[in-house]
Amino acid sequence: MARWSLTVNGKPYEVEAEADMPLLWVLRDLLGLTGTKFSCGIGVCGACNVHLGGELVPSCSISVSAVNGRKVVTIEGLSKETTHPVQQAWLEEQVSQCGYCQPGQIMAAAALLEKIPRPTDADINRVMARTLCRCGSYPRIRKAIQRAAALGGKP
Amino acid sequence: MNSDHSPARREFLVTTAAAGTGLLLAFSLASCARSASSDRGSKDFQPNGWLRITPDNRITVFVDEAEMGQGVHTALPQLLAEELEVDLTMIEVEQAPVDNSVYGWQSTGGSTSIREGWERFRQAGAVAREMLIAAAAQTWQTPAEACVARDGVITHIAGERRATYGELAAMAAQMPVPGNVRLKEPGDFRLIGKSQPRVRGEDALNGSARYGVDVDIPGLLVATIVHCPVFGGRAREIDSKKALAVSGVRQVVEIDSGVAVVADHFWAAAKGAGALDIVWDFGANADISSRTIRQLFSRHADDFAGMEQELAVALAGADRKIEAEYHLPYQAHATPEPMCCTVHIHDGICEVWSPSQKPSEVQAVAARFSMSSAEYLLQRAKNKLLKHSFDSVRVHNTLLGGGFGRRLKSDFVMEAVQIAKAAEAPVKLIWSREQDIQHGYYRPASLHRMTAGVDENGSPVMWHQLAVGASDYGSPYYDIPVSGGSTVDVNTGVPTGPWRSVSHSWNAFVVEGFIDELAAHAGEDPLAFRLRLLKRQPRLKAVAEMAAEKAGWGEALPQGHHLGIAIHPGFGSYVAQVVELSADKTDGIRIHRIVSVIDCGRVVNPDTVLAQMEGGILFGLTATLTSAITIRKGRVEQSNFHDFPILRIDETPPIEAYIMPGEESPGGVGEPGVPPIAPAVVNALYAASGVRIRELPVTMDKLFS
Repeated sequence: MARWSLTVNGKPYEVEAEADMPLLWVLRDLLGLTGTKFSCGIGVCGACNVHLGGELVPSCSISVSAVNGRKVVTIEGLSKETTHPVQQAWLEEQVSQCGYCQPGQIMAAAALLEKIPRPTDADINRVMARTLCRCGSYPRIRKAIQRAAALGGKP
Repeated sequence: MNSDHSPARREFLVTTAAAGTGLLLAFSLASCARSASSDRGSKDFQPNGWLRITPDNRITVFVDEAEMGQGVHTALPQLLAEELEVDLTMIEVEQAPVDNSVYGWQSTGGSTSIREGWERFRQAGAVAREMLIAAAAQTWQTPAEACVARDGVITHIAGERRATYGELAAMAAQMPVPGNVRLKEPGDFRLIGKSQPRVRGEDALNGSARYGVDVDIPGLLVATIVHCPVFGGRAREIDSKKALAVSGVRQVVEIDSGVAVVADHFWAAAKGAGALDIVWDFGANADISSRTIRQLFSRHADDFAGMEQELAVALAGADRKIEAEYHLPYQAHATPEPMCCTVHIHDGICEVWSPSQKPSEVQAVAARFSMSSAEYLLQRAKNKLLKHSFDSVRVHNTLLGGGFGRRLKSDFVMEAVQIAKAAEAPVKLIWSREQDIQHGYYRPASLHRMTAGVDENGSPVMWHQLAVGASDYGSPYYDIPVSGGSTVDVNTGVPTGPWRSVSHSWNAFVVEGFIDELAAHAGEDPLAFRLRLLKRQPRLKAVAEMAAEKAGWGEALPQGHHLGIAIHPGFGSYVAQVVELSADKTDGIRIHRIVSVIDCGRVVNPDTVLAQMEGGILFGLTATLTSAITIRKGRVEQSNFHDFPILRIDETPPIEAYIMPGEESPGGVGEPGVPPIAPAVVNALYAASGVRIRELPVTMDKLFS
């Protein structure tokens, strides 16, 4: 066990954990931030997407030792009152069904718009294809991203 | 369990029950009183199990169906709110407690929530409205006819007096429960039929929605489980030394279904599970495979005694016999939230948090495994007599991260109870994705031998479906003089269960594929052929015509594009889907557009219906194009989303979903979107390539072999 420090949603944390503990479980089980979801555990579904130093990463596939001293933003920290343009667009388009994958979808979309404010369909396909939705909300995800882009994309 | 309400309250309950209010309202307050805080209990207005209005004007609707994305936490309150004359923004929605004495057997499946809730929730709202009006009338010493309910307020018709529902709550609770309440005429609906945004829709967007995996209580340990890779096997020897050496691991527990590792957090449990050394006794299924199962099905089909002769008789008048054989593989549900359940046994109570489609079964299973056998049997007998739930089990049904039928099973509940008992601590069990994919209750694999007799015009005069491995054959809806089916149930050793749309998922593929074949044999347009066999199915015919029109059936298409159609009735609804695609060796199969029309009668929340159709189509498309569960050496070959791929956004074609307006009572919408998509795709592929695909999933080698 070792001590690690990381900043999550602007707040500094110190955690004690084995070096190989994935960020996902640090967030969920040590910090009680359960908005980030577990689904595949091998980095292929995107349910656990977070922003690490501004980059989109599946938090199940990056260990706490690799995030030591770094800044993490989770779904809880994307906006204070669900006001991020992506979240607003998601509400407008009524994207969510069971909702389980949506934190991951929203983090992916927010990262996409941060880099490409006016994404084409191909941009959306490239970035969003790594985040799965079993309920099939994809047609609405596409529309919501276009709407968020029109809203300016960034908070 | 019923400790929260005062004796005075109980008195009132008994009185109202005796007032002849019927099953719906009788004694239905008891359970909801549990949710109310006891200090203001007697001032609350709880006319039935679905509604509570407190003096501070908080209106809470209790939904006894599980929310798994299909929108019941919005649409059912919408029904109640319509009659109560409030907006959805004025109410709060809560998951109802699990109590069979109030809600009956609680199970969410078969696309029944709206069909069963249509009367029930409107009645619940209307009864409350009438009691609030009665309370106002009595207070103001005026006839009830002079009082109007609107937007959470009762107003005197002369406009001099008004009172909020909250202000009237205590008084309304003293009013007799009306026996016969008139429901609104559809022309007066203000909410029903209009799209309403999801109740608490923002919760899923900011991380605050709580699913089964998110449950946290003081002292909670986390467990994960390893099942024998071969179905039906068990552990012979367990060496847990290495697992126990993992930092954070507390205990290794052998239970009926496998070996669990209990730890401080999931990661330690998962590492511990990976470090277990287990010698398995694989049992009787170690040699089964998809290939042997298929051979078994074929043998059963060959052995189907008596059929040949009967078919021969039935075929007597036919000009020609047409036969075909169809195959479907096992399918996993792959709910995004893996199986999970939290159990805390304390103070003689077993408390369970479960994302379940069948919370009443959760309660019974938790009772069975938390009590001694004698205790359980005694309780069960008592409950049967009194139509009661198990008092010593308290079930909290959480939000479900997908259901699709998988959570109609309670295997994970049994496991969590057994683990918590052994650990003597509150435990949250979470399965890994690998365990989830490999230890499900799969949509059964099946083989179907189709036989049709056609007359000299190519019209079918006889139709028979022999379904092997499947519990059900398709109920005939085409006009065919002699039509029927037979089933051969086969125990393969692979656990099976309901998978979104259940038997409709295989029967639509088989029936709509084969009818397309008959159209081709007759040299007729597949749409026209269907339409002339649907004379007694006006609703099905109408959706087929509308889908064809929207898809431009018979009009010029872009070069290389082809259409396929499939229709299907089920769950009280009627669906037609048309697929436009192109297929060639270099670009593969490209679906350009899917058009879908549903007639689900009276629509409650149109946007939810459209979302369910989009979602149903994509769920079905995954099983059509990308995924299957296959068996080798008694075990599932797939293990995660890399080899059981879920359709991605870049593979999702544009979907145009339409609702055909209707006035019949509502049909289901959660499942009807799934069945037609697979046959619509293979029928379009036939149009594109002349190759008839009779086995799912569709792969390039099947098309261009």
